[in-house]
Amino acid sequence: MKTKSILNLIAAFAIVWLTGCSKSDTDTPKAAGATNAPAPMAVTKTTLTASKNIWSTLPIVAKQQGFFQQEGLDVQINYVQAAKLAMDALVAGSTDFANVVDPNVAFLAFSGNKDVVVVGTIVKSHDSAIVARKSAGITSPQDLKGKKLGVLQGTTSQIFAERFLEKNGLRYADVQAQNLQPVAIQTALIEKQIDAGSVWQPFVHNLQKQLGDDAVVFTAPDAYIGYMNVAVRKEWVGKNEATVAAYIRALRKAEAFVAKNTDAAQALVATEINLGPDIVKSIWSQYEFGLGLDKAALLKVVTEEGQWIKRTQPGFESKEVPDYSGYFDDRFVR
Amino acid sequence: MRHKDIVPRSVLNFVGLPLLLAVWQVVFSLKLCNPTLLPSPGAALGRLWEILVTGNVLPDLGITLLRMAIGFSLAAVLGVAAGLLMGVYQPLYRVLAPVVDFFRSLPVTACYPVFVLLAGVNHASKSLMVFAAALPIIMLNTSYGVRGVSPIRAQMARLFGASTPQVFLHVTIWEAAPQIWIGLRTAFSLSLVVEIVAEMFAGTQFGIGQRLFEAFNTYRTDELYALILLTGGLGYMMNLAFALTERRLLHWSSK
Repeated sequence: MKTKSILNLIAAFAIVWLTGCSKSDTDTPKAAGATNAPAPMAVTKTTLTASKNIWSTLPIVAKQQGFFQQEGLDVQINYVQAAKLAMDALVAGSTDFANVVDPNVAFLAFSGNKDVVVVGTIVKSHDSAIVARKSAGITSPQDLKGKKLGVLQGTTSQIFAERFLEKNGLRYADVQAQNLQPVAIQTALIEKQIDAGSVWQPFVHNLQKQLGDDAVVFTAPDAYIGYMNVAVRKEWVGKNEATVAAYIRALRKAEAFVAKNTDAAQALVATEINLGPDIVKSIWSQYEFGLGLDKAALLKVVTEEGQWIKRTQPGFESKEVPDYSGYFDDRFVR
Repeated sequence: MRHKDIVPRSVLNFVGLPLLLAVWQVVFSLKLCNPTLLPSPGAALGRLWEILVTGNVLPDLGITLLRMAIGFSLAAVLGVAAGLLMGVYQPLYRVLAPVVDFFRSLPVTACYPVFVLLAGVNHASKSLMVFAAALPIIMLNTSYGVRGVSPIRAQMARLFGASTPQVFLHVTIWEAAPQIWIGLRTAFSLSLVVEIVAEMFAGTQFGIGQRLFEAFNTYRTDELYALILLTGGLGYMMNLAFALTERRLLHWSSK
């Protein structure tokens, strides 16, 4: 008898839960005849997966300032450690929107996956740098020759390091590259286990702070520009064009807000990503926040990365550089 | 009717893995998962065969096993010795047990700066991470084993004239051995996991963890799953070796 009651209770919970789960993505208001109050605007629930950093400024501002809501969207932001994980979530169909960087697209295309499309760029970044120790005898880029340089292979860390070295008359083979994660590069540099490291923000800032006068930072804004993009699945766009358009409109409002209220945007982002407001302020100028999609420029960047992958990454030597032209769709930001 | 009457136990032992592969194939064939994230078992097994036959994976496998073996061996020697002392001397147990328990609960990656500080950024820090993860498990299990020794047996040995060292050597160690072995076996399995996690977390030139990270990061999913199969197989083989050794060394413990 007792068992039966428990089973009934479980069944009741299951029904309530399943009813909740089976709600459609679009939460439509109750029938107008139910009350005389004006029908509220229909709210479309959607999800964004993004890395929790300054690159996600526009969607963070759009959410915090209610721009998504104004466009009839209820956006749930799921944070992940890296843009690669956001791309995976998108490919797996567990998110509607994903913030992805250009190398994510470059690598994905090699797998043959053609389901993903970039519909906008939300920031261009110049935050890559090589941080070195003066105490290791490094005061100019040429001093890097023969030194231990921490890089994370297969990422922007390696791309930037290679391009920076070439720009300064050195080859990648001229340094002792050590394959390390950014967090390990940071620790190893502070502990004097390596002489320099190719990293991005906020690691650059952290290292400058920790090394103090011993730090020397080499930047080359033209050597590598990182693009953070809004990506969606092609089949999903086909069914949800209005949602994508509304999402882009909200980002457009966020872009305007960031341009006019920089201090407020910085404070808002600092709180959301849990980074000191002083750090956010000091690195802000390394990012161009703006919505757009320069299809030709991005196609060139990603194709060059594809060629770089084939040339340098193990396991890709025999593969053809993919045709990336189908991965960008600028109609929503035009 | 008992199951062994229907299907022999020896056959049942070999059903699990093919069943898993069959389920994987069904999931792949029915396109229940995106093939960019889950390749066919055939593609993964094919890649596994390729990296094994060409010897392509051997430098990574060798360095992973070496770092793991160094970390685990040091932890085993020191952990068993310290655990025996903890088990024998109550005050020492009271002092050390909370400290050891504290470290047992910590993920080693959280203390990464400490390992770099102590052992640099290359091989030694990874072995040290393995050592730090394995040591508390071995220490605690060894001390539990000693503390769980039947006082009646020890007392009986004393009645027959055995000295304290003799009781320790001929009663305590033998009775504690199964529990010590459990600690070693658990720590050994964990050592492989920690070594691979350490490589993925910190980065390195060679290593299964590094290779897993690269395959993951670059959408080479056939290689990713080949390495997952290799790691799982490795863990299984190690566990099997431990179980077989246990059966020989501690033949009385299961009786």
